[in-house]
Amino acid sequence: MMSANERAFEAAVRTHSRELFRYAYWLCRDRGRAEDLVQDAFARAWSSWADLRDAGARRSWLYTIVRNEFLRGLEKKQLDYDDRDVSDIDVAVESRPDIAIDLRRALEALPESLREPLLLQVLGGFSGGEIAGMLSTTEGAVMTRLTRARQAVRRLLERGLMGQEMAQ
Amino acid sequence: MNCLEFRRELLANPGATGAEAQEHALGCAACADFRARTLALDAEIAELLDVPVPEGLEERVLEAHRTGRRDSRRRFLAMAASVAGVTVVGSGVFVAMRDDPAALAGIDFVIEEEANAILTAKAPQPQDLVRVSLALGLELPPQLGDIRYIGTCPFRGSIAHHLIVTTPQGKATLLLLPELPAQRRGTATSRGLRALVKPAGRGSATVVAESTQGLERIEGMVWRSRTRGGARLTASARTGSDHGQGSEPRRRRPPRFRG
Ligand SMILES: [Zn+2]
Repeated sequence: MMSANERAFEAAVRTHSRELFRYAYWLCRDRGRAEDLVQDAFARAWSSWADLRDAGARRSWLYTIVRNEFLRGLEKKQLDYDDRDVSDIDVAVESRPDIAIDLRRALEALPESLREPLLLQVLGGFSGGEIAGMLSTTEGAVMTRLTRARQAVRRLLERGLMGQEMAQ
Repeated sequence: MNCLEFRRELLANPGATGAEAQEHALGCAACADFRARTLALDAEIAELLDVPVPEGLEERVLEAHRTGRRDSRRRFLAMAASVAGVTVVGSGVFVAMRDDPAALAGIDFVIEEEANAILTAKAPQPQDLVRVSLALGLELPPQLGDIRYIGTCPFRGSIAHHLIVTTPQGKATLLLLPELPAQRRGTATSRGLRALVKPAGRGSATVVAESTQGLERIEGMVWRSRTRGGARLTASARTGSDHGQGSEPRRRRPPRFRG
């Protein structure tokens, strides 16, 4: 007989493994390691499963565990973050559709501090407040990073952002 | 709400802008357009992030949970890697003979550093590019394609004049290396890209393209033997039209740098 906890755990594995794999993959960009991160995260989650009272918080809790497992591998407690002001100039720049480098490379080129909130928002569908909780920062800082992340992606994708024209 | 505030809010969370923002977009065509493109880009990002998940992942997680051991996939992977390791070492000798290390460095640059080079680039100096290509005796004819990016960046311990061009055969990167001589022509294939390094003047240039065909097309245009004098890339306006390099300098237009 499975206990209620066992059943809830199994349901969580079936519901969240795939999205956690994707998140782990974009943290480490290695499929084998991403799977290990998911397995280790669930092992860790199980060890304190009974303590988690709020089932509604389970999903963001699992994301946080994956992230902690990833950081443990790096022997880092926190990613290097930089919350300088968003540059107004970039926001005002018009986007152009032509692509100088592909989107994958643009995302890979983002600093972790910008890529991670973007992952959590686009992939995880978390709100600014939830992301702030997961990254131990303020919602304002998260929003700033999200803005900067998209600016950086756009800059990478936009041709001719470099301004001047070649001689006519 | 002004345009700047609107764009800030939009970039922070394109999927959930507030009432004020909605109102702004109704009255501002430029911002409405900006929003459409931002949403389109987000959709592309979402699609890219949605990587395939390995078959049987959930079962392996549950199996590990039941047995208290991490699943065998890891051991299997380790084993596969060691077998692959032998193959890699074996073919490495062959690869080393065939692939030119300087050309390989061009491919590594494109994969690992090019995006950062663009991100951190300062304002471009097209006139520098004109000067450098002249000095190297290289041409950058308009048929080459659209130049999407011009910048300078460090490469193999010297300064590279870095161009990204879109050609009929796809995207290509050119690194003009005035201070880096090459002994001979060398090529490499790696990570889905094809690269060429070749002497040019007192330096060299590296081309990285998506196919051999694309590479050879660029090589044929850039290293084209000239009548005499330097390259004719140039706009006579920038380099001065005083010395007739080639007979009809004004007939040739520089590559398009659409802006
Ligand atoms: Zn506006």
